[in-house]
Amino acid sequence: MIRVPRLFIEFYDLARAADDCEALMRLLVDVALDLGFDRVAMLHTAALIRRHPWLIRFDNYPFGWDRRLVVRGYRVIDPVLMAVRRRESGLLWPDGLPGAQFGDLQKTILEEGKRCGIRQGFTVPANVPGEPEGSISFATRSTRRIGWERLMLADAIGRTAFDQMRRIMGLGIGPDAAASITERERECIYWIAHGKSNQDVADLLGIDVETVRTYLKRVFLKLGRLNTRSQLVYEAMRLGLIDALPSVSSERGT
Amino acid sequence: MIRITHGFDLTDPLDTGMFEDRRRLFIDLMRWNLPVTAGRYEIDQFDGVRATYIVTHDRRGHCGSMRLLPSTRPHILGELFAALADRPVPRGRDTCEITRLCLPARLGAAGRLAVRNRLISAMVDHALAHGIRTLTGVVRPAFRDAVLAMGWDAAPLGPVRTIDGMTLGAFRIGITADTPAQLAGTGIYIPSPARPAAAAA
Repeated sequence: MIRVPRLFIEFYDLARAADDCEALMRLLVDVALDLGFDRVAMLHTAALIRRHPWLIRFDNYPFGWDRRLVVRGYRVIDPVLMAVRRRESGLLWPDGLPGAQFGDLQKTILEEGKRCGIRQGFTVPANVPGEPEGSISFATRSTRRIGWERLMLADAIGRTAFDQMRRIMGLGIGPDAAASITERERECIYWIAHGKSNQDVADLLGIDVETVRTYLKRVFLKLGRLNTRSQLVYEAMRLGLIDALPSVSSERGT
Repeated sequence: MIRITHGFDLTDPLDTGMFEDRRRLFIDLMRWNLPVTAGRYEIDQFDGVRATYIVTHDRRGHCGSMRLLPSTRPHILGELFAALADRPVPRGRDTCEITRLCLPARLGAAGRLAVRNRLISAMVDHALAHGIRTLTGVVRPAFRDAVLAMGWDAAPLGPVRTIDGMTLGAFRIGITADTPAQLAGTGIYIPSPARPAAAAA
């Protein structure tokens, strides 16, 4: 039988019972210390650029670290966050970083991190469609190898903590706007995202152009606060109604 | 390897391989009502010196092909399926019709996709090199959906209609210097020096 470590079960129960952000963060800091990480950061990447009540940002990293180093204007330049946004599983750093792709700036950031006592760590991506990009980082000044069991636990604990923080902040509990969109309406949005005109969409779906206009009016009403087709496509991407997949067909052709 | 020719030669094994693969795909497998020549080849009234053939091949022969027909001469959309276009059928010296995209079933799904992408890349390069600005075509609805979502400037010419029991739709593609980059963005276009030669058979 597989045994789930007590550390995780205890954290899971306490985190689910936590009812304010600071209490949850204290739990996370404590469990991170048990795992051997003296620093922890749970954040939406966008929170490094601007503060907003819907953006998660809690950490016990050295003061001023983020200000000086992880952001330039509207661009996140931190090598760990850059690498982790392109994956689904946690990343052990600096070992797992694609170092060859980094410029001097990224190398400087890693060097500066070491000076601040952030020598190695593990960052778990936390991405929910329709919500900003997020992550949970566990870091340590120690240079001892971090074993697999600790990484697995950090992964599970990090994801649980992020979800509980979303619960406390009231993210993802509103009505799901995407659920109200019908399949026909979604097809209209899909073709508009591919640059087609209303007449093109009508031809593609085999319906009248007036029907396309009716569908689109309905979509604009359902999604709210949208004025243009560009806004519609942006919102549909954000809500996961359409994706960025290139078209791949199994058809043989003409 | 890609070979582009005008017209065909039945003593050339690559041409006979192409016509045999066309018969296997369009007649044996897809049951299209087309004539068979010499008991083996699918050759129709549009094949000939005015047709351009883009063929991808390896040591063993034909791996996939397509045919471009000039729109100033009789072609499939203009002659047989003009009813599919609600707008005027695009015609002109800079307009060609894509026909007989043949991706043999023996290649498997992944192999066919790779050959399709190679042929499309070669077709775009050929169009740019020869001043072809518009491509048209008549295809099944699901394939038209895929063509129109490839990232290039493409639009339907009219709704899907059923003609002689076949459900078909027509499309138009605009080719510009931006087309390769647009198709590269969806993973379809491969620049010619980087294009792998051998097909998965």
